[in-house]
Order: sequence, then structure tokens, then C-alpha cells
Amino acid sequence: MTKDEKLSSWIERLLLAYARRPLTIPLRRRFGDQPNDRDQAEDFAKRKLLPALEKGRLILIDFRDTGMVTQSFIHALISEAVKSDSRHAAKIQTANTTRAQQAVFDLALRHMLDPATNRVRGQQSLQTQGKAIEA
Amino acid sequence: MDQSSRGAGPVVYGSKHVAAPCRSCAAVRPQTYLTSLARYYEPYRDSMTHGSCRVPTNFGYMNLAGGLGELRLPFDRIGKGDIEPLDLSHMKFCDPAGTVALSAYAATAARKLKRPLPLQGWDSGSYLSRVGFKSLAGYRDDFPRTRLDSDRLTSLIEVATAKERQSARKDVLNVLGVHHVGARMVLDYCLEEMLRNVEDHADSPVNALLQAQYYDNRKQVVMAIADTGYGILHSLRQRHQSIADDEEALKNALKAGVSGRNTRKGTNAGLGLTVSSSLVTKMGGTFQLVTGDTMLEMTKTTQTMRKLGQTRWPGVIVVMLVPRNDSLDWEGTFEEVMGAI
Repeated sequence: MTKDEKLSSWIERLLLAYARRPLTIPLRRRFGDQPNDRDQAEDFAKRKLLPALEKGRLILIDFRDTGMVTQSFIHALISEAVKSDSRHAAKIQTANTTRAQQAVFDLALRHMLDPATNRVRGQQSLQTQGKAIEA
Repeated sequence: MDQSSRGAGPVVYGSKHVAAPCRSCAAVRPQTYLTSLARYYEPYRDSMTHGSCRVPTNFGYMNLAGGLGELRLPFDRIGKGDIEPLDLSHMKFCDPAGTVALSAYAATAARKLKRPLPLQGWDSGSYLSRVGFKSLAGYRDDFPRTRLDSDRLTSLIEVATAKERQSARKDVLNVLGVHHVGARMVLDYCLEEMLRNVEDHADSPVNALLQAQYYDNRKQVVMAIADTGYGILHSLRQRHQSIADDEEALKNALKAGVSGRNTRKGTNAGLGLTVSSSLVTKMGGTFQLVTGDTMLEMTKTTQTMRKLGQTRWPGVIVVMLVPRNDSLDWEGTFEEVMGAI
């Protein structure tokens, strides 16, 4: 490999690494200290989060200095991405969460991935689900 | 007594004309001034006084189903001619559950009719006046003193947008004096989910009406939210046509995921009611849910369905009664509930 080829390969890898750098979402800066505006979250997910995941980037959701977060908000933020490809769930990580925030995040993610309550809910009859719950 | 006049036109007793047709339903309503006749008609008084919707003496979470049934609020007749006045003259006690129900009805009527809802027996110093009922009924607010935060009760708050939700939640928790971090988190969570539900599902003409109070003697927080939108049955039938009635709709609404993706706005996991009701009951509180002709009351150990009688509530009323005990493990219970659903 010539010197030029080495340089070009190095630049290529550098560019690739840059393109795949993790996308950090500072919730406080994006959505305020009480991040619960679902419309804003859905909009952000479409514009930034989903394209980043499709490019192979990791997502880091930073909960620093935020208060109560509902599962509806988390659902709005990541559900489109997770439903489009369930492997995306593994690429979404959290940072600086309280125990309660982590519990809410886990609940939302669990139900996004759970076929009984989400992904095939449209096809599943209510009676089947009702029987399962009653049992 | 002139017997021949019975059955046709006003009833005539002796020479006195004592009965006239009711304005709203054309039934004959005796307007007796003779004591003997008043005594005679007393047992039938309720079935004959069609002239107004009489609010019961006590109207709150303790008798929400019975009170609504007794009220017979004519939602279906709003906008179709004359509407009965709301008779508040007998009311002695009201709490947030009763307040939001009455206010949601009054505001719906006033907005659809584009004029104030007629009120009977209004007391400008009453609880309803204190919480700002009159302005929702279409009148100028005439509460005679300054509202004090130290009263530990909020005024009625109409919530429509995300910003209003955030500010309402903050106001409610501050006024109620909830400073314990865990308690604040749980109540805040439930409020946000219930208010958001109204925005997602209801399309309510009065948005979400919220009122809350802290009862020091019982160490209990009562938070009530009402809307007069589509109701749970209509909302669930968008996806599950097999749901037959309000009772079945209420049972299904509490199951995880059933109400999901039914929203007017985007997608939804359908966990809001499940999580909030579980949180409230797990903390030792009571969760009441009214829609259509049915009320569901849940505690830690029981679930009771009650029929409302002759009233059909078009939207949803949610009442959350939560004991405010700072020694409870709020955070631990929160995580436990989140893990269990």
C-alpha cells in the first residue's frame, strides 16, 4: 500500500467514524426541564433520531437535570424508530437517569417490543388479549 | 274538584288554578299552595319538578355516581331549545369531583348556547364561587374576596396545550403543598397522563377541566379532571368495534395497550390509564373513572362498577384520591408499578 493509499484509507475511516458518532440528545436543552411535550418529541424523532439510527449512529439520551418524564413522552420519542426496526432498540442508550426515569424508559421500551401490547396490536383481537389478561 | 278537567289541560281544584305544564317537558306540574295538596304531592315531588336540574345536597367523590344519576344533566338537549336551570339551592357540600362535573356541564352548555347557563340558588360566597365556577358558566366572576393559596385548594383550571398542562401541574402541586419528592413525582405523573389523555382522545369543547384540594384532616389529596368529549366507548370503538357498552369499555381501557394508537394525534402506547390507576391504588388511594352511564371505582383490593341512572356523561371524569403520607415509599412503589405493567 502506497503512502497515498494509506492516507486515503485513514481519511475514509475517520470520516466513517465521524458519520457514525453517537448522537447525544440532551433532553433539558431540547425539551426543557419537564420534558413532556409529545408533539415536539415526535417531530424531533422524525427529523433527527430516525435518520441518525438509519445511518448506523448510536443514540444517547441524556436525562441530566430533568424532572418527571412520562412513558408517553418516551414512546413519542423512540417508538417510530423501534417499530421500524426492533434492532434500533439496542442502539438507544440513556445517561444520567434517576431510578424512576430509568423505570419509565424501560416500561416504554418493553411495551414497544412486546407483541402482546404493541407491534401486532392491530391484528390481535381484543378477545384474545382480554382472555390473557383475565387469566 | 272538577273531575272532568283531568287529563286535558291544566288541573283545576275548586276555583283555584294550581297546575301548569312544565316548560321543558310539557308534563303537568302541580304548583300547589294549599298545604294539604302539598302534603299529598310530596311523595311524587321529585318526579314532578322537571323545571330544573337539582344538584344534590352533597355532591362529591363519595356519591359521584348517585349524584350524577340524580342530577339528570340534559347533555343531549343542549342546543335544542330551552335548557333547565341548574338548581344549586340545596347543595351544602361539594368537592373537586362534583365541581369539575358541574363546571364541565355548565361550560359545555354556555359555549354551545352562546349564553350563560341559568343558575338557581347561586351563593356568591360558596365553594363553587371560590373555585371560579361562575366564569365557566358564562357569567362574570363575583367571588367577594381574594383567592388565597393557603386555602389548599386550586381554582378550576382549563387545560388545552402542553404549556398549560405543565403550568397547571406545577400550580396544583404547589397549592396542595406537596413537597415530598416522591409524592410530587407520582402525583405529577398521574396528572400529566390524565390531562394528556383528554388532549389525545377527547376533542372536548371544554378541553380538560382540573381542580384539586388537599384535605388536612384526612391527609388526602383529591384531584379531579373532567371533559365532555367523545368518551371512552367511542374512542375504543375506533379500533375495537366489538366493545358493546360503557362497562366493557371501562374494563378494557385499563388493560395495557388496548387504547393505544387510537389517538387523534399521532401514536400512543395506551398505558396512561393503566399506569395512573395502578399508581393511585398501589399508594392506598382510590381511582374513579366515569364515562357514559357507568362509573368504575378502584382501590387496592376492589373494583366496583356503578350505573349512573338517568345521566349519560358524554366524556370522561377521572377522580384520584391519594393519601398524602410522606413516610410511604413513593419512589419504590413507582418503580414497582413500572416494572409490573
